[in-house]
Amino acid sequence: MNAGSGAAEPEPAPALELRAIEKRYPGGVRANAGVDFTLRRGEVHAIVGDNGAGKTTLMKVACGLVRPDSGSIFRAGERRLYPTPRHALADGIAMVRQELRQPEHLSVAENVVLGAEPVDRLGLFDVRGAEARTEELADRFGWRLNPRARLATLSVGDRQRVEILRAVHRDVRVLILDEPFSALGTAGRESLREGLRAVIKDGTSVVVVSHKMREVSRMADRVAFMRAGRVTNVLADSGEIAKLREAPGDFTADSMATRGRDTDSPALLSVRDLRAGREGGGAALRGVGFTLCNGEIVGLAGVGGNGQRELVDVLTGDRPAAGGTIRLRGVSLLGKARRAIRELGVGYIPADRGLNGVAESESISDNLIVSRHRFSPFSRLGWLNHRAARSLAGRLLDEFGIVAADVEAPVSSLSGGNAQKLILARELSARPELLVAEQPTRGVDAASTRAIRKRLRAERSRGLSVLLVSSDTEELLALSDRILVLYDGRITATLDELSSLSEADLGRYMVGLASEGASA
Amino acid sequence: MSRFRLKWGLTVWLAVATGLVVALSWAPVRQLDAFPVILVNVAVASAVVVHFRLGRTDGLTPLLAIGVSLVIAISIVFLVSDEPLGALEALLLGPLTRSTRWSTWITDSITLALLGFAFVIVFQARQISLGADGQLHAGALFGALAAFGIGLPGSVHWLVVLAAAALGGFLLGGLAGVLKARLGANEVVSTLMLNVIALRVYEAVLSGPLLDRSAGYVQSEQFPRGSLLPNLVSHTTITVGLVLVLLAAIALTVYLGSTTSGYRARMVGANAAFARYGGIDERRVVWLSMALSGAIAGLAGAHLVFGVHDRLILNVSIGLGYEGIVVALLARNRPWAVPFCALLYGYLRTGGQILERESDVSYDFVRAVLAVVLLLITAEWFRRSRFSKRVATAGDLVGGEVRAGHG
Amino acid sequence: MAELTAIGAFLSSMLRVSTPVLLPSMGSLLAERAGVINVGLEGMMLAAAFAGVVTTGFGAPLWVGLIAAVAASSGLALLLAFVHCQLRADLIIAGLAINLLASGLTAALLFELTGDRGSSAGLASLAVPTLELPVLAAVPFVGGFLHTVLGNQNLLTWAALLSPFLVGVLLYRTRFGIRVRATGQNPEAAAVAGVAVRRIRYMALLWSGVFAGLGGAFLGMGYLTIFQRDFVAGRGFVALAAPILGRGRPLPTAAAALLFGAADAFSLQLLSSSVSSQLIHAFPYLVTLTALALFAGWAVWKRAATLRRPS
Repeated sequence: MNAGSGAAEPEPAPALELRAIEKRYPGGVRANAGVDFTLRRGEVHAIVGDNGAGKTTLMKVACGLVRPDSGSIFRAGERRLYPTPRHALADGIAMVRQELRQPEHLSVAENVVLGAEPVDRLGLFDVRGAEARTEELADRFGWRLNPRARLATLSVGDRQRVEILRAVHRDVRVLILDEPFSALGTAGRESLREGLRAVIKDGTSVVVVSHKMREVSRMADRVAFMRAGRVTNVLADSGEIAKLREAPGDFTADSMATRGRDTDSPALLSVRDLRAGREGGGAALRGVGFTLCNGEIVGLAGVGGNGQRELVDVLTGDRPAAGGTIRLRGVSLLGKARRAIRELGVGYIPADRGLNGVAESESISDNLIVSRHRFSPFSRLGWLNHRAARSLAGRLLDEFGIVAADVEAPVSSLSGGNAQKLILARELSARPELLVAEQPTRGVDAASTRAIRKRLRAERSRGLSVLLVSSDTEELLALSDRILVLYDGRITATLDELSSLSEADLGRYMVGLASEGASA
Repeated sequence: MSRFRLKWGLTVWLAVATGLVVALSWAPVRQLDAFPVILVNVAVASAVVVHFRLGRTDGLTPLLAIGVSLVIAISIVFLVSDEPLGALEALLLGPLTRSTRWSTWITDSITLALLGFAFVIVFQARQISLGADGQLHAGALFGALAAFGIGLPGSVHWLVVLAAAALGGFLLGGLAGVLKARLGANEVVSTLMLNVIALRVYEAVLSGPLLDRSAGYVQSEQFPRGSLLPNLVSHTTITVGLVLVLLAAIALTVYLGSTTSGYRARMVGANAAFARYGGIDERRVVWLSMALSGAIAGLAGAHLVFGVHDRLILNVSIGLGYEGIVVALLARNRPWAVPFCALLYGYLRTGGQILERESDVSYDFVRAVLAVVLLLITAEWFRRSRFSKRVATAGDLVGGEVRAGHG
Repeated sequence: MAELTAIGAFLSSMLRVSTPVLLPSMGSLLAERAGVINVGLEGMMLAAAFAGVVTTGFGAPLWVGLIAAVAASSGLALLLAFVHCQLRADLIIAGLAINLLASGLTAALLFELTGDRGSSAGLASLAVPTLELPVLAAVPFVGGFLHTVLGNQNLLTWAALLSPFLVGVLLYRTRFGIRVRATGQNPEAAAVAGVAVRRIRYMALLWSGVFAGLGGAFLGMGYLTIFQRDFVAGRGFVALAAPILGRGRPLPTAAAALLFGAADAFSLQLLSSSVSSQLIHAFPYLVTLTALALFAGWAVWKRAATLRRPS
């Protein structure tokens, strides 16, 4: 449906309308700054923008996952409040999220019908019916899924399909897809588009949130651009949208700084034939090998579930390896505890700040000394030296431009960007030789992102080696000197020439559509 | 833990400790009726400190919790008793009326404070170890073995007994700790199980080898005089246990605030994944905190049998092992606040016991009311003032703590 | 033949002493599958036993006693669910508080109602009848054995034996069960899928209260016909361990409860020997703890093995 097709009949109330949505997170990040958004019946509306532009937050507001500070939601012309996702679902709104969080021990069929399970005449759960329903829905999309398989055994792409089927099973009228293409190959994307067309024919409206402009341009009726919590522009003309297809790349943020790599220096880190198992059984790493020299940033690209998690865990000593070697300046890291690995000069910025990056309830200075509290000057003979910790904290707050009330303030009082800078400050101040940085700017505001990247580049030129682990193509291209692609537990490509590489190209490597030899 | 609060706590403690020691050693005071007056002052001071220091910083109002439970207690008294006013007087003022009574109050508070410390240690490291009851029995038993088994001159025998009791608790707590740290055995279930086992073993030894067959009921012979805890105040059961409490308050405050080991415990408690990430050996923290907690619970057991009963008896704890949780929670896990909260809670408890003796209201009612105190103070809703803005989080979605699930 | 009879008698005794663990362990299983742990089972059983004994002791018919028992335990479960889900109390500590509350209240009310502090010996309370099955003896070859084992069991023991199957149907064949499993595994995901997580947890705790009530009723109106102060004696805690040993599945959980029962029955046989009776009573708990430790250690070892040797 094109906006230009002048219809004589009065326009029906929009399927979903968000007005002046305002959301500020506890850390102080203003994710939505008075956003207006209208979704018409039966259209596909894309929202594109940088990471951190507020796209996902806006959609979480729409489906009851996030409560807005102010603003209102209208569904088919009526004002609504969605305190929980359940209320939104009951009103026909469902969201398929990028980070899939699913009950993994349930079967595919049970996952699909969860929340609206079919029952037989006795009132018991109708397993056959659920399985038949799952197959029928999957057929509609041309997908092949075993309804009896446990979700834990499925690939990331299949798990996303299960999420979509669940929404379709509930017969939702507004379907929100957050980065639906990131885990799918070309064929998968085409079948997803096919399936969505069928859904739209039934009168469902679809919102696609993505930073892949090319993908959204193939199917969107309208495209909204978001930046820094605001909608900056809405394209409704099909011709203009089609032009996006020829756009040179996707969103890229700040320009790349000068790169340089000391190729003559001996390898700092050498990983050979590394193998590791997965929790549920099966192999996560099937023989990974690479080297890292002094003073380079090497990007490790890969979509979740392809082994980065396990690789980082093995490197930092959180998981045993099944075989292979890891040597840092010739010293084997395998079998060493985290503490020993840290003391050999490996720093680590974890992917999920809240999970293990900080202890939110504790003070800034206590957070800073976690890996060094055993050493002078932070302690002597088992006694802590609070003064040393505080002076370190004071110095680092200044040096890294971290906004905090006091070095004794709990980390929970910091904004996301400042907390992330705190982690960077902690890891760099320990003077590591190798820094494993996992998604170092995830969920961080634009200014802090720039500051963190600038700092990483500066440290690189001073000789620090960085292993940048990310699924964010923009970040990988902005920082890396070269990129290794990890797919299905193996390094499938080593990309040295990055200046001509687009995000879309890199994305193809990451989903296994391209590999070495067919290099860009 | 902020440095400010830490320093403040230490100062208050040193002041109170010196004051008490001076008061207790000053002979005229010890014989005079003025003693209850001092105690009233201590009680009021505890209430004030607890209210203002804890209440203001975290919005907690332990006094409100106790107030609500008092209202419940009073209603029960009016429902059950034929002579409610007299009963009420017994409940509210009873602990101050006679020297035996206030000494019971102080003595109970000492036990409660030691148990409170035991819980503070494990709760700081966020281990839900509920083993204090069993460790208390283990402490009493080990102490008894040392008392009967080792002949020593009087002046040091009681020190050996205390060490043995601490060892007993340490071993039992450490056992649950190692099961958790090495094997990942759920500590809630294993400590509850160990409590049952320790209690049975205690009873077996008491009614077997240590039974005093000349007594009419199940109890051991009286411990050798030298192994009993020396009295601080004559004609009462107030012993060096009081000093133990003061020492423990100071030692724990220093341990958690100023030692690397305490730092590690705090970090594991605040976020275990973060502590692991920082290279802290979480397993060591887990078993060590559970073992240290056990040692203090063992001391509480020693205080009960060597300071109060002077022999092993049946039903030595009667739920005390669990009531220590109330004290730790009232004190919001701050070691320096534990003794104050123990005094407050102990007052209610003693009032309840006197209530039973003086009126027709059973002490078991008071135990039920005290359980309500526990329910109230553990409720976060109660803890957070309604002024604090709620943020929609995953926690909001599911209501209550997700952590409660376990595997 | 005499040996067979002895074995039969042992199995019969095992089923009998397993009942007050098996029933609450099914409740505990439901709660744990929903991601909540009901530490208050102990107190709930106590309250149920008290309510059943006292109501029938004061002349109420048996069915009223049973209803009173289940109502008392479910009431406490509801209180626990309320303070956890609504007031956001810590579930474990709130569960302990429920135990203390039940222990205090039952003892106080016992004294108020009977004037006795220790037990309800003065009350002529009723017992749930046993199900006599002389038919079993007619089965060829094993008839005598079967009759010894099953021919004389309490109705509530039969209920306990059936309960794993009931819970299995509940967990795997009802809407509620699917939602319970989804909630326990990933509450946030379940909420996003439209599951009312709070309501599911309420219900799961309530169910655990019902099962605890049946277990408590058996203690006071089957196993014994008397209420004694704090006579649940840790059975509620064993019920917490059973689902862990059974890895959250009904039949293995029941097997864990029966293991405790076997240890208990075995220790009862020792009672006449010279070993201290207190130590004998500790034995089943020691067995449970050992099983728990071995099981946990096995899981740790297995995880390390899968990571080290991926197939």
